Amino acid sequence: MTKGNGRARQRRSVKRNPAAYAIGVDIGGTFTDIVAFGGVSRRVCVAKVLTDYEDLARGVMVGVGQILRDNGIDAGLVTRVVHGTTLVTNSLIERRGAKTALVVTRGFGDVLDMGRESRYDIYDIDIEVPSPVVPRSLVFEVTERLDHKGVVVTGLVESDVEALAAQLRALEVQSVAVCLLHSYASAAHETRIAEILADRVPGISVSLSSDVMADLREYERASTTAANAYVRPVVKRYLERLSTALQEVGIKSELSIMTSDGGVVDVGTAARFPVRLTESGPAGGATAASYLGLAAGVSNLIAYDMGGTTAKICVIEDGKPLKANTFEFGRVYRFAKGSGLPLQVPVIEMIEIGAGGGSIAHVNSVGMLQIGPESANAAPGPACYGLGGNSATVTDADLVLGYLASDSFLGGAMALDVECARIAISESVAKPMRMSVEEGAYSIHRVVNANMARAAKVHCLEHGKDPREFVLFAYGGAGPVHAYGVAELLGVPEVIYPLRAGVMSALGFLVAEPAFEVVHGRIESLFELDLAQTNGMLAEMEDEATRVVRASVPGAKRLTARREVAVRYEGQSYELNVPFARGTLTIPQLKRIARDFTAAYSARYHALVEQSRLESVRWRVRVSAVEERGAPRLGVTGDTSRKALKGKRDVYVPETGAFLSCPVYDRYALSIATMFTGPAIVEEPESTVYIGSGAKALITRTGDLRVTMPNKANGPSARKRQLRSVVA
Amino acid sequence: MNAVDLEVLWSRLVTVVDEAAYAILRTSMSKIVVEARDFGALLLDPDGKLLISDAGVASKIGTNSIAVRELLKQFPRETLRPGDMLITNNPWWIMGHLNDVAIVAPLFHAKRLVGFAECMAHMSDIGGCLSASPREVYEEGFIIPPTRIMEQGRENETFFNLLKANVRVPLQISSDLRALISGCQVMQRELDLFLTGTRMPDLTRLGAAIMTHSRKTMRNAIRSAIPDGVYHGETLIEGSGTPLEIKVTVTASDGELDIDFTGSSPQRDVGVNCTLVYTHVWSVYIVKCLLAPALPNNEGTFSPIRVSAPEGTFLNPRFPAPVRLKSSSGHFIPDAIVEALQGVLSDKLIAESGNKFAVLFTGRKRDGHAYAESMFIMGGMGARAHKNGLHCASFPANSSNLPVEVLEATVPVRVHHKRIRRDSGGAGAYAGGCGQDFEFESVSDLPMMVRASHGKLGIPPKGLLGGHDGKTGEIRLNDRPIADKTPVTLKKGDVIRLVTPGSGGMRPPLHDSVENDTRSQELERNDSLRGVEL
Repeated sequence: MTKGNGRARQRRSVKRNPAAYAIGVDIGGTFTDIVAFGGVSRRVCVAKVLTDYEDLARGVMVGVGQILRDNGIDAGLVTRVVHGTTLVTNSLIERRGAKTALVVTRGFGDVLDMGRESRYDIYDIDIEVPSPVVPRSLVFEVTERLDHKGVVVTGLVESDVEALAAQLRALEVQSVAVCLLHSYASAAHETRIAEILADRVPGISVSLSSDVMADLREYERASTTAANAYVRPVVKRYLERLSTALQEVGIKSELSIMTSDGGVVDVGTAARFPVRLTESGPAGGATAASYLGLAAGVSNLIAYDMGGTTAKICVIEDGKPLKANTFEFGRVYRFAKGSGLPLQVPVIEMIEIGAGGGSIAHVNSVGMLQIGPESANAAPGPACYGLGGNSATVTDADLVLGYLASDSFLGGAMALDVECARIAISESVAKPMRMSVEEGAYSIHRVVNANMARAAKVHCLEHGKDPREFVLFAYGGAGPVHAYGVAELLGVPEVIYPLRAGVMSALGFLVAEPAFEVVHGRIESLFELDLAQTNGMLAEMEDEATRVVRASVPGAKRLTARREVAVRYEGQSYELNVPFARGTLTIPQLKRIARDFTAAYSARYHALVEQSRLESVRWRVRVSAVEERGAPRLGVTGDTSRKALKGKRDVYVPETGAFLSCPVYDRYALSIATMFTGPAIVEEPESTVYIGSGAKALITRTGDLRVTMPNKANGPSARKRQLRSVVA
Repeated sequence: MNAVDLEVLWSRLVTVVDEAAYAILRTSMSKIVVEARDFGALLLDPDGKLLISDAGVASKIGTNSIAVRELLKQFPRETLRPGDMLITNNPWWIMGHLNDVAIVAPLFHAKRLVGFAECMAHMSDIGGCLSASPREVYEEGFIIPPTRIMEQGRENETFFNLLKANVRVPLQISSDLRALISGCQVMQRELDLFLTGTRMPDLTRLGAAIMTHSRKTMRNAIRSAIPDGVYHGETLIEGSGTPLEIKVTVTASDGELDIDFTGSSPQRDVGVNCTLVYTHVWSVYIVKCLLAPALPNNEGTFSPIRVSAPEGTFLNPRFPAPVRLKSSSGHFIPDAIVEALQGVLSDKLIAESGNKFAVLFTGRKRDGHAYAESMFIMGGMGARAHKNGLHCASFPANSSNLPVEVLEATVPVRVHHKRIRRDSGGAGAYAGGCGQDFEFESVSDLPMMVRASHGKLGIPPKGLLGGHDGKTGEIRLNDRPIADKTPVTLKKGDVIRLVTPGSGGMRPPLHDSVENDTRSQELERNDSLRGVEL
C-alpha cells in the first residue's frame, strides 16, 4: 500500500511537470506506431517501426527507444504509457493460446459446438462454421443448477469438482473457463468451483463467466469465457515482460492498456480480462476521432478509417462512439456476420468492410464488378507498386484517376508505376466490361465508394441513425482519398480530414480516459424488480469498476460513475440504454426510467406503442477518471518554408466526366484560415485528400481540413421537409 | 445504363428496403420476428412484380408474392391514395398460413404511384383453436380479408378492435402490425428521397435493367448446369396417419425449369397442406441454392422457373383446406428436387436434412398475463457434395435457437439437457450432420400447452448417392412416445423430450478412414469420423 501511494505521489508530482510526456503504442498488422505527446510545447512526435512478430515486446521497445532518442525525451519524464495490441486477436485466430478446458452445467457440454444453430448465409449450402477454441474433449460437466433468478435448484456436487480437478491435472490443462447456466444471476457455484480448483490444481488460471461477463445467453457467455481463459496465460506473460522492459529503460510509470470499449485499464485488469482488449487498436482510432471532433466543435461523426485491406466505420454521437455488447472474431467468411465466434464484451461498435487500398477488383461470374475481399496486401501489393503484382487494386484505380500521384505516395518514399496500373485495370476490368481504362478505373473507385456508403448506411440504420445528420471524419491511408465520394453518397453535409491520419489509434490511446465498465444481465419486469437486491448489485458493480480505475490511476481524485439500464417492451429483443442517476434506486426513479425510455423509443421509431410492460435486461456501470491534460498539437501547418501550391495535375472529376487540371496543395504548407474550392488535391505524407467540384475547403484553427459538400437535393434540410410531409 | 451505374444505383435502392426491414426489426414485439427473423420487406413495381426483398428467412423472400396483384383486384390502383395501406393474411396469397400477415402500401413520388411496399411477418398468435387438429382453415385463426388498415395515414380502428378481440396476445399482435406499418412508412419516405436524389421519375428503367440482368444470369446458370431433359425425384414424409408423398418432375429446356408435382398425395383434412405460393417458395429456393446463390431476389431471378401442382394435392390444396402446419411438410420439397437432379449436379448437393421442431408454448402466468412463445429445435443438416453436414443446423428453413437462459426467463420451463446426438448423422464419404436431444419440464403451477411440430420424425432422412440414412427422431412425454404436431397440456413436473433426426450422408462411407489415427483432435472434434459404421 505504502509503495503504491508513494508511486502515486511521485506520478502526481511528475504530472504537474509541464515537461512530462505520455506515450501511446499501437501494435498493428504491419507497423507498430508510437506517439509521444507532451513537453512544454504539447507537441506530438511520431515513430513507426515494423511489427516484430517473433517478439512483440522487443518491437515495442525498439520503437519507444527510437521516439525517446529522436526527440530528446528523457525517459524519466514519461508519466504515462498506454498500449494497445493485436496480440489477443492474433492468439485467438491463430490458435496460439494455452491448453484450456471449459466447465459447464451437466447436460450442456455441447454448448460451444451447437452455438446458435443458425446458418449465416441462407443460400450458400457449403458454408462452414468456426471451430470453438476449446475442443469438445476438454469440456466437462458438473452437477448443479440455478434458475434464472439465481435460486439454487440443485446444489453443486463438490465431488464432481474434485474429480474434475484430478482430470485437469492429468491432462496438464493450463487454463480453465467456468460457465454455468444462469451464473449471471448468481456467481455462487462458479466461485465455489474456483476455490476448489485453486486449492487442488495450484497455478491453474481460472476464468469465471460471472466475472468475465455476467450477461445472459449461455452460448455467447461460454464462448467469451473460453476465449478469455485461452489467451490469459499468453497475455499475462507478455504484459509482464513489457512492463519490466519499460522499467529497464527508466520509464517509471506503470503500463496502461487500452480496451475495446475505449477505456484504459491497468495491466493487472488487462491480464485478468484479456478478452476485453481484442479491438484496442480500432477503439483508439474511434476515440481519437471523437476527441478531435469535439475539439473541432462537432459531436456527431461517422468515423471512416480505410487502410490497406479493410475499412472500419464507427458512429460517434454526442462526442461518444456507439457501444456494443458483442463482437465476433475469426470469421470463417471474412466479413460475413455470424461466421465468427462471439465475444460478449463491451466494445466500440464498428463495422468492418473488406475493402482497402490493396483490395483486388475483378468481374465476377454474374458480370458484376466486385472489389475485395481478396487483397494484394503489402507484397506483391497493387500492380503500381511494381513488385510483381498484376491484380488491379483500388490504389491502381486511384492512381490512374490522378487522385494519387506516382511521385508523392507515402511522402515520395515509394514511386508508383502508372503504366503497370493501367495494364492491370485494362486486363481485369476494362476489357471484360468493354470500357476504356479510365472508365474501368472510375468504375472501381465508385463501386468501392458505393460499397462503403451502403455499409455505413446499413450500420447507421441498425442503430436507428440517419447518416445525413452526421459529419464524415476520414483517416487511415486510403480514407481521405475516398471520403469525398462516400460523403456524396451518404448525403453528409461535411467532411473533416484530421492531421496525422496514419497514427489515429496510438493518438487515441493518449486521449482515452481510464475507465472500466461492469455489466450485469438479468431479465425482469421493470416495476417488479427487487429494489433492495438491485441496489446491492449496483453498489457492488460500482465498487468493482472503481477498484479497477483506482488501480490504473492511483491518485485519481475525480471519478465519474455512469449508470445505464437496457430497457425494452416485454417480448422485444432490442433494447434502448437509458442512463439514470446514481444513488438509491426508488420507484419514482423507475418511473423516470420508464418515461425516458418511452420518449427515446417514440423519437427513434416514430412508432405508436400502446402501454405495454417494460423489461430491464442489462445493467451497466462505467466508472472513469477525469484527467486534466492539455490538448495535443497534432502538427504544424502554415510552414512558410514550403510552397502551399505544389503544382497542378490532371485529375478525373466525376461531376464533369472528364480529367481536369487541378491544383495540388501541400497540407503542411497551408496556413490556418486558408480557403479554396474543389476540384483540388491536398497531399500529406500519410495520405491524399481529393475534393470534388464545387466543394468548399477550409484549414481550421486546429489544423483540420474541413470540406463542405456542395448543396444536394438530399441534404438534411430537404430530408426534414420530406419527413414532415410523411408525418403530416 | 451500364453495369456499374446499375450496380451503384441498385445498391442504393437496396438500402431503401433495408431501412424498412430495420424499422420492423426494431419495433416488433415478438421473438419469432426479432430473434428468428421471420419477416420480410419487399419492394414491388406498380404491376406487383418483385424488385427487391430483404428477408432473413427464405419463406419471406416473396418469390411468388401474388398478394399485391390479388389486392389490386379489390382495391384498384386509381383508388389508392398516399398513406393508404392494405392488409390480408389469405394463405393462398401470402406465405401459406394465417399467422403470416402482409401489409401492402402504395408508394408515391411526385403524386404518381411508383411501386408498392409489402411488409410481412409471422404473428406468434392469430387466434383459432389450439387444442385439436383443425379440419378447415376457419378453425385455424382469424381470417383477414383484404382490408384498408390505414386510410391516408389514419389507422382503421374497427379493424384493430376486431383483431385484438380475436387473438390471445392482442398487444403483441397489434404492435407487430404497427411494426409492419412503420416498415411501409419508412420505405415510402426513403424511396421518395432516393428518386429525388437520383432525379429519376420512377423505377421503370432501373427495375427493367436489374430484372433483365437477373433473368439472363439465372437462365445461363440453368443452361450450363442442367442438360435439357426430364428428371424425377420423390421423398416421403409423415403427414398424419398415413405418409405423404412428394413426387416431382423437373423439366429443363433451354435455360428454363418446369417443376411439377403431379403424383403427389391428395390434400388432407389436417393442416399439413401447402398452398401453391408456399410450394413455390421452397422449389425456387433450392434451385437458387444449387445454381445461383449470389443472385439478388427479384422477379427476373425467379421467372425462368415455373412451379405447378395439380389442384387438390397437398401441394396445391383447395380452400378451405387447413394449412397451419404447412412448414412441417413444405420443408421437404427441396429434398425431392435434389433427388431429381442428383445425377447432374455433382458439385452442389445436399442429402436429406433432419428439419427442426417448431415448438409453441402458450398459457397464462400467475398474474393472469397470457404468453405465446415459439422456439426451434434443430435437426442435422445433410451432408454436402464435398463436406460433412452441419450439426443442429436447420435446412432448408434457417433460424436460430432460443438460448436456454432466455427461454427459462420467458416461459416457465426448466431444461434438463441439450445435447448433440452424436450417432444420428448418416455415414458416408461425407457424413450427415447430427440432430439433438432436448429435454425440459414444466415448472408452472398453471397448465401450459405445448405443441411441437416436425413433419418427418419416424422416416429416416435419406442419404444421397449411396450415403447412409440419418437416424429418426421422436417426442416423449414423461418418457412415453407421443405424436408429432399434437398439442399437449403439461402440469407442473411433466417432462417433454424432443429428439431431432440426424441427416443423410453423401456417397458410400470410406471404411479405411476409421483406423486412421493420424487425424488430429481438431478433426475428431469436427466429427469427421462420426457416423461411420464399424
